[in-house]
Amino acid sequence: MGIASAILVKDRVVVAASSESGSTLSLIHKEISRVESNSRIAIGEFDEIAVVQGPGSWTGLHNGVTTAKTIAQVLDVPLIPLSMLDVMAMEHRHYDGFVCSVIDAKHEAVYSGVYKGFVGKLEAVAAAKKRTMSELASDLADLAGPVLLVGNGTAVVRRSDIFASWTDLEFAEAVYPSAESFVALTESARGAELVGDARFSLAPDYMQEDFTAVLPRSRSLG
Amino acid sequence: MIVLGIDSSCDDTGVGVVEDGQKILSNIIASQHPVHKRYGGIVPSLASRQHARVFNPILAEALDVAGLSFRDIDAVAVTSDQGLALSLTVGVAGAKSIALAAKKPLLGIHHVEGHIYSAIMTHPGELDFPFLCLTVAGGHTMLINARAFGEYELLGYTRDDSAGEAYDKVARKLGLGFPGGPVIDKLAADGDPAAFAFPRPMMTTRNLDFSFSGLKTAVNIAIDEIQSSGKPLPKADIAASFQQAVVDVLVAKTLIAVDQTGIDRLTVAGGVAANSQLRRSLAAVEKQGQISTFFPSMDLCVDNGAMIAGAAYHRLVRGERSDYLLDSRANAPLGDLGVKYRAPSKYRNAARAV
Repeated sequence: MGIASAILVKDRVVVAASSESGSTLSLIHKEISRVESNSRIAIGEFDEIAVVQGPGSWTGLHNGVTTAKTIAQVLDVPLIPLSMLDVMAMEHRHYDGFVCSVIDAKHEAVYSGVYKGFVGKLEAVAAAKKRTMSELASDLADLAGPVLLVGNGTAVVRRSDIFASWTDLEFAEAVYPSAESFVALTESARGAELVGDARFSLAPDYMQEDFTAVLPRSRSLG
Repeated sequence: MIVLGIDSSCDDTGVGVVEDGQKILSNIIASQHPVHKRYGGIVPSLASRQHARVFNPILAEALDVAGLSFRDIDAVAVTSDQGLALSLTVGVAGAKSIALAAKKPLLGIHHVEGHIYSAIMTHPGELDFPFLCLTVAGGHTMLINARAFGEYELLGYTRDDSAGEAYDKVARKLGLGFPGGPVIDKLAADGDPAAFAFPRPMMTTRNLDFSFSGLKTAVNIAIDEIQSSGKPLPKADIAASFQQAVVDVLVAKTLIAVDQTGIDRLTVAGGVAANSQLRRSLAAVEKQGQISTFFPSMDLCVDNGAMIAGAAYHRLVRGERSDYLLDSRANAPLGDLGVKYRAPSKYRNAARAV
């Protein structure tokens, strides 16, 4: 089970959005078709496609990225990769301090990115990647100011002994990214669009080294 | 009608373009064998990632070779049923995206129906319904009575390992690499097929089911015993004896099916259809006048998109369509049979009564 969401934006304004939980493979095209019909803007008129490349559920990213790449290929339009960590942080871009997006990566590690919000915008101050608790503590220790941790990885941080004595942490576990955050992020991603055959290279985060999951225990492949 | 066909059901990514169910305009296949070779078998998560990597370039190449654009395609067909769950999703997501963005009809196809159709594509006008189809591959081993387009009766299937799976595991035990079918077939040519008396499981039973797990175990035990004795491993003899046992079972079961159904036209589909010993044995039976065999061309034996486009054509002209909710089904009924691969026999027997 996952959530399939589609948002259609025209001139920086959300004109249609649709979301449904269930099989992402089954639902994602229906959601796209729905925003198409609700907005009365045919898919052939779409000028670019943005897609979250991770981190997130293996299956959801797999289906979303393949779908976005193929639609961009058929329409021959640019493809814009978005980070879910950026999207989560964007929700808190007005926070007076640092925002750290954390997604549970299992094995007491988190996918994380560290940001600083200012005037409603967002600036990354530490690379988005998978961190162990000690690596996260090391990166956060250098920050001068309060840190707001957002996302389901906050549970991992809370139960870690490393952070037990930290006093300048705040937590926001539930993050429901708004369509507006996606729009703001897409606008800030200008210049990073993939065009032509370069679109084919887009892969979910889990296929990239920094986000490679901890290897499972040795098991027979027979 | 020009149909774009997609197959990502296992470890090959295939995209083909076929006109009117017969004329292959392109058939591009990206094999993943190098990816899985080091593991001695297919690793599903790696297979899915590799499909995701190559799908879009393969799609572009298939259209390029056919000299067509997305606008020129009349419909999109995809293997949605039967295969590795993680692999199927790439093709289905891709096909639905093409259909949605290019505004083309979409149809999900059962992978085995594509294999059945591959022989018809190779022998247009020669192969008439009904015919028997022995489908032998890494994922399945089954005997089917193809009554008409879309009407299939499952006569028998494996109760455990598929024949292709047994080939892969024996090859791994012998240190021959992956995939096992071609390497064992090649090595067997230099061996004695009578050197080892490996079992022929279920060969004489009147039902048409198969079993290859026991044979695989017998080969493993033989190899272990030879290795523990310190003697050199006669790999060619083991390969030849193993292959002979597999082929004997496949041919015997096929002849029982011919006897029971009265249908003497036979197609052999799937990767193992390329096996030289199986082809020789069936050719010998054909020479005796018992059967007429129709093998797919070599490029249609493996998983490919053209066979899916071909099979879809006949359903599309009948007006069949899938909607955007199309999902993948790793274990799916073939046609109207309601029989699941590897289903317990109590379900299988009930489902056969159609």
